[in-house]
Amino acid sequence: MNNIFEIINLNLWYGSKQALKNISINIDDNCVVALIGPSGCGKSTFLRCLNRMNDLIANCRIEGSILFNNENVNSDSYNEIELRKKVGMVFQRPNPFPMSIYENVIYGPKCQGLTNKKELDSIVENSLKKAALWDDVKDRLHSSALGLSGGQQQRLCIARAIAMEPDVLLMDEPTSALDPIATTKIEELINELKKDYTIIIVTHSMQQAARISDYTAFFLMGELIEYDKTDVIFANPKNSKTEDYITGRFG
Amino acid sequence: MLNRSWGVTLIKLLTYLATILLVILVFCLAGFIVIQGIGFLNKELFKESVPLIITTLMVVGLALLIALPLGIFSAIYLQIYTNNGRFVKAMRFSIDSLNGIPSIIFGLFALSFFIYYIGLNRSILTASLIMSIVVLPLIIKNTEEAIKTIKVDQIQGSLALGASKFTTINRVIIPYCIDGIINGVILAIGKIVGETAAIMFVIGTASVIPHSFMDQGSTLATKLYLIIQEPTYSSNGIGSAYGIALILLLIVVLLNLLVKLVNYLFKKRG
Amino acid sequence: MKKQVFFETLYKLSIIFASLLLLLIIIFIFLEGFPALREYGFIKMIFNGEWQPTAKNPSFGLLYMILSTVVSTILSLLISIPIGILSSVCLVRMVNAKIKNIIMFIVEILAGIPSVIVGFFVLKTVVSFLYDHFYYMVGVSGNSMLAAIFVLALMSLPTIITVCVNSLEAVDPMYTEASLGLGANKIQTIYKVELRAARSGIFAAIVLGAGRVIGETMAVMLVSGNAINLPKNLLEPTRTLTSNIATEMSYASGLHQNALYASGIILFIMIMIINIVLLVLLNKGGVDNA
Repeated sequence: MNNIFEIINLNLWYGSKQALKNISINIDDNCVVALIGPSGCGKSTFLRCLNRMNDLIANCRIEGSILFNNENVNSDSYNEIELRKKVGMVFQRPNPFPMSIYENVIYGPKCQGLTNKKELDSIVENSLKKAALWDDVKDRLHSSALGLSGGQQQRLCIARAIAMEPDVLLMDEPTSALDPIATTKIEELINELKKDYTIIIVTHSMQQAARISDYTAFFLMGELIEYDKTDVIFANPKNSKTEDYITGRFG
Repeated sequence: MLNRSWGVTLIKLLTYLATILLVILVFCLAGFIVIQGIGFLNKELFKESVPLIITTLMVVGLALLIALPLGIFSAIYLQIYTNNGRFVKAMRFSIDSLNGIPSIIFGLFALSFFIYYIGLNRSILTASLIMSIVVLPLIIKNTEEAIKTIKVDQIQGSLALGASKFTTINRVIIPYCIDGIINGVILAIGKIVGETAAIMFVIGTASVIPHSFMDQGSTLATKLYLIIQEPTYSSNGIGSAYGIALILLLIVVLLNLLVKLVNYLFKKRG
Repeated sequence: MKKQVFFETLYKLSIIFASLLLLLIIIFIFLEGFPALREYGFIKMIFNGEWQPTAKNPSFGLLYMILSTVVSTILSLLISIPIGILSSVCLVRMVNAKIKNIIMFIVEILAGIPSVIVGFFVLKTVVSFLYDHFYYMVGVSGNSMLAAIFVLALMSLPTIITVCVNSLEAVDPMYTEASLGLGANKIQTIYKVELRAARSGIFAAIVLGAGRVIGETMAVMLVSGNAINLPKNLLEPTRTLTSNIATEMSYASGLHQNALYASGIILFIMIMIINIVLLVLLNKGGVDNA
């Protein structure tokens, strides 16, 4: 197991407000890491640093190193587009493009210049199979993605991200907009996916974190309070603030 | 292609080029009018344009006098008194379609209805009547937009306090809609001032200061058209055309600035 | 209480009156146009090219003018649509808010400039230019289809730009995020996703632009010349349906005048066809639209 992400003293400001304070954390590959904490604690902000999506926000200043495969992604010479090819993201609200299912999945590869139909077809099939969606949609690949249910759309978004063959999948509360059954399906999917990918997932639900993750990080007011194996965090947290949150004293 | 850097650069270039072209075109147009017209801003032009300006103002005034109440009342009914039934949809469709009718068709209608059927003479009155129809959809749409921006809660709140729909309208809604209504008025003025095709068959061609609405007259726009077609129509020849065009351009710019001013003032008031 | 009932009725009457106006206009145009349709024949008017309204045996064939309208509309849109869409992309995604506001103000000015003035401008510039450079060609006087196309493109640009800018700004940012998250660059995101998401608005812009162009009279009249035959090339003069009506109304009478009204009806129908096409296109793409 090696470190796929090594974050050293990460600080982030929105204007004058500091949203992340001195975050340092090492993330192993091929495991599921859950980021938990109350609203506004910075977990989503932290997640979005890992694929430099915070670049899109004006007034956002970042200091510190984020080493991905030992290269600092925050340096000026690092190409954020290359980063996003290897670090994919699934968002809270399923957001398939207003195109067909097929076109959604091949969007990423096509943007990289891939045009060979056979290759594209096989990417579509593999990605949809890995996302546990292939059986549902194999007969209607060219129908609109917007015709799928919420849970199916989210799995499509996962397939779309997988089509880029990333090393890491970032998931920002991927099931909060879904019903319990769809949520369960996605959690099962995550369990399968971690064999091939590193998954970092922000979740509002401690139960979800406990169910699916190997490691858990607890954030509070922009600081990383505790990071450890999930069993430890939930059974035997070392920090009292963690314990308070876990036991529901606040949050 | 878009993933190669040369492709990206090419597209970026084309995009900027299109915008630059757009700006250049407008500057050429405005610049042409200004440069050519400024030489003709003299006493003769002033003498010639006073009756034109007065006629134009008369048409604007009367047309708004008719279209404003009609439009505001219609907008109030559409927004407040009805739910979206088939009835409302039909009425909306009718008014929206009115917006898309070419001005020459309005001109034909004015001729066949006001002049032939009703028997009015060619006059400023007739021109005002057709223009009131032309700008009616504008007034309705802008008033509706203004009413829509008032939060539904405020309407509910007022009604919940026991005020009737009528009082609600007068006390709560209209005061807050003034800026939208004014916007519509300014746009309508712009449209009326620049209109030619709709009124050229029914306003006549006189060029003196009108004494009443029953007189014929020429607006700035109709006279401009006449001079371009037949430069001998004006003592200044084509020079007047440039001068009048400049006056019209100034009016357009002024009206647009007025819109910005109104928006600014009303934003401050909240 | 009586006061309220009074005002409520007043509002109701206003809207009913307003909605009946369209009907009134259609009726009266049709009433005046009908005699010509009956005498000469609707189909004949559309497909016959002989426009001789003042001849002993008058013929009212509008074919060439209809074609002229259609061609000038399509060709002018071929200019204004790319420029319009590209500028909109630039304004919404590639320049800062200050520059965007300045340029939008300029666009609004263009929108408000009366058509006579735009025609005047093109008359004195483009038409003169064309005459100076091509006078040796037979039948060329500067007034031409080309000048008409240019003027129409100018007039439809503001409409297309305002609607496209609104549509692009309304695109849900989640699409932008998703695209960038997949490793696409900004240009790819704009052209593959955002324009696609704004598709129905862009279609609407095109249709509105087309409607504006088909109905344009004054500007076209000043620069297109007066020839009734179909021009062999873009440099020859031509006459559109609208400029035909405006030009001949001043001296037309009797059946001639009826024929002009009839051509107004045909113009109306053409505009309705475009609007129906928009409705169909919107519904076809309906499933794809978020």
